[in-house]
Order: sequence, then structure tokens, then C-alpha cells
Amino acid sequence: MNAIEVALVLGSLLSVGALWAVPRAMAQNASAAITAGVLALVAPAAALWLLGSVAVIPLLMRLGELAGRRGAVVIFCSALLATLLIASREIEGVAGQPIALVGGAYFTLRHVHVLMEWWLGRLSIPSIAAYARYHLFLPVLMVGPIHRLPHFERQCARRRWSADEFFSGAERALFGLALAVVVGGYLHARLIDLLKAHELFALSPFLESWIFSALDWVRIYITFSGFTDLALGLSLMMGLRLEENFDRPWRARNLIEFWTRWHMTLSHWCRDYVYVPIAASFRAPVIGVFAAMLVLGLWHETSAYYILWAFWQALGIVLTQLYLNREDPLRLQRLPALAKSVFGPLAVLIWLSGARPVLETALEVLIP
Amino acid sequence: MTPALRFLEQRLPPICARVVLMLIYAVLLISIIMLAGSGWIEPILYEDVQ
Repeated sequence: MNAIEVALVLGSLLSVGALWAVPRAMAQNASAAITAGVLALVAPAAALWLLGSVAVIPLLMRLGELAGRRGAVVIFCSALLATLLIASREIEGVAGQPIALVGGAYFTLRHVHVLMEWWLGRLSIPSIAAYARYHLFLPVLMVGPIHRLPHFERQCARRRWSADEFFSGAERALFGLALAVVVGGYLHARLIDLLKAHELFALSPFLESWIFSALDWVRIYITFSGFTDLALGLSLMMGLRLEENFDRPWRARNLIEFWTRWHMTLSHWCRDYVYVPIAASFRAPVIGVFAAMLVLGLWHETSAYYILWAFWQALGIVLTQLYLNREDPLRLQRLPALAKSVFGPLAVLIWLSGARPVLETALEVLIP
Repeated sequence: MTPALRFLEQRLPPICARVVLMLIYAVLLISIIMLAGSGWIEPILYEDVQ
């Protein structure tokens, strides 16, 4: 863990204490103030970016409401947020000093969620204070989940002290941190060292890349789900049950099921704000799938590799759907239950991890 | 109720059980953070899980 991550964890624990120590009416404001303080201390640029957007977006929404131009405001704000996110990835430092832009990828999506819900008429314009309380929630700042405003406000309203919830949250947070740091950080690295030292995969570079890519997916799952457990556990210690991010993705029987179990708050975001509008506009679900995966890929990284990665994943989803539409021509449903429970997840892992060797080879050919 | 809390509450007054459990968790948390910062463990950065 680096210093920023440690500061965010300790700041979250401070928020837990403040939330139960101050009067209920002030609790969420205290939590937001601590978040702003910690962020300003460890990542001033990110604090400026977040606080600025939190102050400006509700104002622009009000102007859009008055002018009767909701669509224009949503498109303008979304384009501006996306540009800032992409630009932030190119900035390595200011005046020779490195700057940390913590959480930008996540709060950008939260902004777009609120804008889209308002455009669709499902959400009224939040006050700046309510909007700040929603965004300035420290446990989810670093790695999500991309929680939603109505759910967050419901949770804040129902918040009651419960020793059971508090200690369940503490256990989940500790378990998550240990999982991410010890299993994801240590055991996985030692496993890779061991495999490299013994040249167990001294096969072709293509196959070796595929195997290490598969091991990377396992590591990402361990660390990401560990940090998610930490965030959700800390939230539960505050009395808030936020949205889950993983639903045992290693049990997915096909690629479509995998994307409904993996990083669920992100895939739900892509479904609601990219897939559904585009599939409905073009009356073509396939275009919606490609667009959603493209946004998902570019959210991870703005690069040629991730554009190809998005097409690879979308192709997998389309092929899976075509197979499911044909009523199981390979008769996989007739396999014994144990074989099905192994074959499905294995096929998913092979497809997911195949992206790296296939696409890197393709990029070498296309851009020599 | 979590198993750890139930275990302690069967042996100690509830308030003591909660304080003891919080202290245990605080020690565990500090240990993990120190372990992570010791260099013995491969650092996991924000970018890795983004």
C-alpha cells in the first residue's frame, strides 16, 4: 500500500468515528468534511477537481432546467467530464512534482449517473450540499463501488446504530484488506516468481503471455474484490449498505453471465447509460453491446489496446448470445453438473485472458 | 451477530466484549498496514485495481 491508500483507510476510520460521535443531523456533513480534508491533504489536485465539479454541476443543472435544455447540459457536462478524465491520465506532474488524481475515474461516472437520471426525469436536481455528501464519501473514493445517489440517500435515512452491522463491517474490511494485500500482493507475486524461475511455461511467447494473462485476471479479482470488501465493510461500519460489486464471477457459465457478476456497479452503469439508449436508438442490441464495451474499455485506459480489447469482449458477448439463441448445438447442457461447473468458468477465463496475447500480436502486426 | 462478537459476549460483559474486539481489530489493521509498508509484500497501487 502506498501513503495515499493508507491515508484514505485511516481517514475512512476517522469518518466512522465522526459519524457515530456527532449528532445525526450533522453526521453526513462531518463525513464529507473529513473526506474533503483528507483528499486535500493527500491529493490536492483531485480534491480541487472533485469539489469544483460538485459545486458546478448542480448549478449547470439548474440553468438547464430554467432554459428547458436538459439534454444540452447533460451532453456538455458529460463531454467535459470525459475530457478532464482523459486529460488527467496524460498529466504526470506539475512543476516537476508528481500529482495524484485519486478516484477521478469513479466520480466521473457518478456525475454522469446523476446527470442521466435527471435527464430521464427519474431524479430531481440535488442541492449542492446533498450532492457533496454523496460524492465526498471516503470509503468508496478509491476503488468504488459506483454507488447511486437515490440508494445512498435511502441508506443515510435508514442508518441506525447496530453493533452487529458495525462488527460485520469491521470483519469484512479487515478480510478485504488482508485478501488484497497478503494474497493479492504477496502470494501471487511469489507464485509468478516461482513459475518464472522454473521456466514452467517455456513454451511459445504467445502461450506464455496467455497463461500470465490468466494469472493476472485472478490477481485482479483478488485485489479488486479485496479492496471492494474494504470499502463496503467500512461503509457498513457507518451503517450504510452500499451496492455489491462482485457476485462470485468465477462461477459464471458464460461470458454474458460473467459481465453481470464482475464489477457489477460499472457494468450496470454501462448497461443503463450506454447499452440501453444506444440499442434502443438504433434498434440493434449488437451496436449497443459494442458501444458499451468501448466505453468500458476506454474507461480503463485511453489506448489502441483498450479499443481492441473492447471489441474482443463485445465479440465474445455476441458469439455467446448467438450460441444461446441456437439452443445448445454442442449439447453442453447434457454434460454432468461437475463438468458444466468447470467447463463454463474455464471457457470464460480462456476468452478473457486470450485478449492480451491475441491483441498484442495484432497490434504488433498493425503498428510495427 | 458475528461469531467473534458472540464468542466474546458469552465470556465478558457486552461493553467489554465490544471494546476488546475493537482493540483486536485495530491491532490486526495496524499489522496489515505495517506489513504492506514493510516492502516484504509486493505493493498494490491504485492503478492496478482501477
